[in-house]
Amino acid sequence: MKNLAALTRRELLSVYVSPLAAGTAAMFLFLIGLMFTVRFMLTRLVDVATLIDPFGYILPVLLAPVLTMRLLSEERRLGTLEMLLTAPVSDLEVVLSKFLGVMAFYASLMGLTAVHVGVMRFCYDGGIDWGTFVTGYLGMLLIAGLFLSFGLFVSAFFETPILAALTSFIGGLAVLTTHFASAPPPVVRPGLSQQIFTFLMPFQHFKGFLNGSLDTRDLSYFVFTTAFFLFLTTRVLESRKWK
Amino acid sequence: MEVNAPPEGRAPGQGTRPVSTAVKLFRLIGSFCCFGIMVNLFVSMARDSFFDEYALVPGIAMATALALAIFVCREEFLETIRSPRFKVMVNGLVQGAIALVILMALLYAFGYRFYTRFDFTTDKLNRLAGESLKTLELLREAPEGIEAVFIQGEDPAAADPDREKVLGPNGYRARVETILKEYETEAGAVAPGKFRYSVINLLKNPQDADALGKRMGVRTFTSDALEGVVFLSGDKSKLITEADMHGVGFARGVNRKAEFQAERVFTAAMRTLLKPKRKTVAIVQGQGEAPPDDTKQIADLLRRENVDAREIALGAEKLPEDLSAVVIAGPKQAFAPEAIEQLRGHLKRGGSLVLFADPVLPKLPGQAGEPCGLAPLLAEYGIVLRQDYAARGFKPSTLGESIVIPQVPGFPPTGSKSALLVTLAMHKQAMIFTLPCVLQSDQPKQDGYRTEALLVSPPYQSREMMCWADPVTAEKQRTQAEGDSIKGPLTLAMASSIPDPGDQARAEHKGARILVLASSSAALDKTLINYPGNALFLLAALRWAAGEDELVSEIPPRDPQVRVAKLEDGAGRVLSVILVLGLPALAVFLGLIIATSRRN
Repeated sequence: MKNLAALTRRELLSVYVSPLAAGTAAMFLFLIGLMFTVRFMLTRLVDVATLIDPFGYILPVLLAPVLTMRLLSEERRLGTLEMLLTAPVSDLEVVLSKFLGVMAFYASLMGLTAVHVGVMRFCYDGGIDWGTFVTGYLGMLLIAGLFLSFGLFVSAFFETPILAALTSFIGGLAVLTTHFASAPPPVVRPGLSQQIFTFLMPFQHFKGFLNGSLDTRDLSYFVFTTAFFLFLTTRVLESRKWK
Repeated sequence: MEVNAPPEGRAPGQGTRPVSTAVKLFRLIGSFCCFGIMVNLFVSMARDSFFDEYALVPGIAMATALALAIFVCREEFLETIRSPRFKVMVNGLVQGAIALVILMALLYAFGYRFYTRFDFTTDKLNRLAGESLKTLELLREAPEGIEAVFIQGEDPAAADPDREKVLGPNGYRARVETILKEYETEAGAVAPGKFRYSVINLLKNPQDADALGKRMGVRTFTSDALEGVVFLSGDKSKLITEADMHGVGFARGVNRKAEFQAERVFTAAMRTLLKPKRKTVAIVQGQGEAPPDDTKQIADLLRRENVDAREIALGAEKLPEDLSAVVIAGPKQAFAPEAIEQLRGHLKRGGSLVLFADPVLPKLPGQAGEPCGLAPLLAEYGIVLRQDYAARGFKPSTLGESIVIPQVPGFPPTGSKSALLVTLAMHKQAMIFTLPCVLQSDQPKQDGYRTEALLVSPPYQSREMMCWADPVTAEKQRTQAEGDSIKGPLTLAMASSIPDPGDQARAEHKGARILVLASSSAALDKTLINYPGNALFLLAALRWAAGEDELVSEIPPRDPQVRVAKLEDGAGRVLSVILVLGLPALAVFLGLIIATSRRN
């Protein structure tokens, strides 16, 4: 645990003080500001969907590759990964620290949208349904966690960060495209394989969070699939010892 | 075979073995084929079809290419599978597959076995009411369970953008699906697999709609615009239209507030389906009424409402005591006194009567030759059946005489606070009749009864459109109202019943329900019955008469508060600049400070 805390601190420092962090934050704020402004000005609806709905789908697909591309591939390219793996820390601790560091950064990016929520609160006199905001933000963090863990997994394969980012982006885009292409199911009764396929698509599990409900089925989906990719990442690191 | 030079900075024999170009090429082709097969498998899963040409052709092509590559490059293939990297890959794949199986098992366990849902909304809009949960418990005893099919017609947002605006950002369809999903989930906890739901788009999948119609025992759905949810249980079914889900919210634009009562009507529908005994409605034959082929449409509607429909010959057969309603469609001869006495007894027992009447026009082919003789019986319940026939026309233009149209529209009376739930279901739709007669109200002789006009024609106006009724004794067709004509608005549908004291008493309703429509054309004409207003009215009328309109009053409507911000344009522009440009610029500025301080 002590190792994990130390490694996470190291990751956080390296993420926060890099120019990439500022660039990512600027890109994030610009995109979310643009989409929020357009939507809010048109509908004037004080709702979590006004802020999150379009970005719930797009943001993790865009940002996760950028944030995760360097995590393991850069270490591998510079040769520091060998040093890290030979240090008295487990592979799991290395992977978890990387994941927690990038998640913390993503959460702080999400925290910046408090300004947008503040704008909605400022423009509306009545009471706001804060419950939907809580679940909406939780959903955003969970879906981001899934895409970040996938990005980390991809990053473990490559020595070139750009290749890792590209592969991760294509994977995310495929999921996004499949989601839009396959909804709604135009059949009387979806077959078993279609049900399994729909169940495995992450965005299907995101909808409920926007309505203010927290479903253990959706929660367990995100937690376990994220854990699944983190486990695979650990195995990829460990596979260097199998040769 | 050409062998690559060892990588730069690496001595031969150190690190990985050099790989030939042929092996690299083989690996590339093999990887591409494997990737293609995998993508094909996923696409087939999404389409739920593994054996049609779209799945088989690319799949077989990829597999053949892979087999061909292996056959042509046998040595490279053997070299590849003997390489340590391949062993690592296989090892990784096996571990990944095991992890995937464990993942699926965990998801299944936590998703379906130990399922819980928390509602964080202020109004608690995401949980089923206690009454609904109690109803789902009835599924334990129902061997066939319940299947819900959400039928989607035209896009409601396109049809009425205002309504979608009122319903909020998630729209009506998303909310219906959310509720159905909740039923499915909650039913999974008490009676696993006994509640399922699916979606049919009438425009995209008409064949699926036909298949569903066959299952329900009806020929087809009445209209593409008729959107709703069908609940099926064995051979029983019940349709809840979109109109049923919205309560009074959209009646004739008087009150635009949505009252989304889908859960209430869904639960009521399920209770009806889970009831052991069905209600029965008799369709009368023998007095020149429409033949069974024509009344089949009415029987279909009733069957869709989980009501048994049977033909009966009044006078010759005894009316069963537990009969819910009697339907008389377009009688053309007078009823025998015994038949009228049978009907009187049926109404005294609390049974219902639906009469699709027509004016007496002996000179016109296919029209009634004599009065049906039901007027005195109806008068006891406050409904006066007149024989005058209504027409609609347009004022003479400069080009010639006025045009008379035999079809008359009927609208729910504006501002009516009807408790009958018949016309409310029609929303803004009008009914269309061909040659209707005219109804009037009188003081009911039976205690406690009250009459209510359900549909009225447009008024008689001095300019352009006119609506009036002429006596059957008129010598020739008139082009405008004359001295003995009745000027519009004319009453074209009327109901008489004992008013309900409240929702609680509705289920134990006592007394007869009588509904008279001024023309049988709306129920019998194969074209007119598909007109949306006619379809909705008939459905609601038959449902009301059969006593299938009970609501579960304890379930509140689900209407999330729509919160709309007040923002002036000037303030909006300032906020836009701050949010779109100001905040990102601040982030860049902070980044520059950090970079500078690190350099220093």
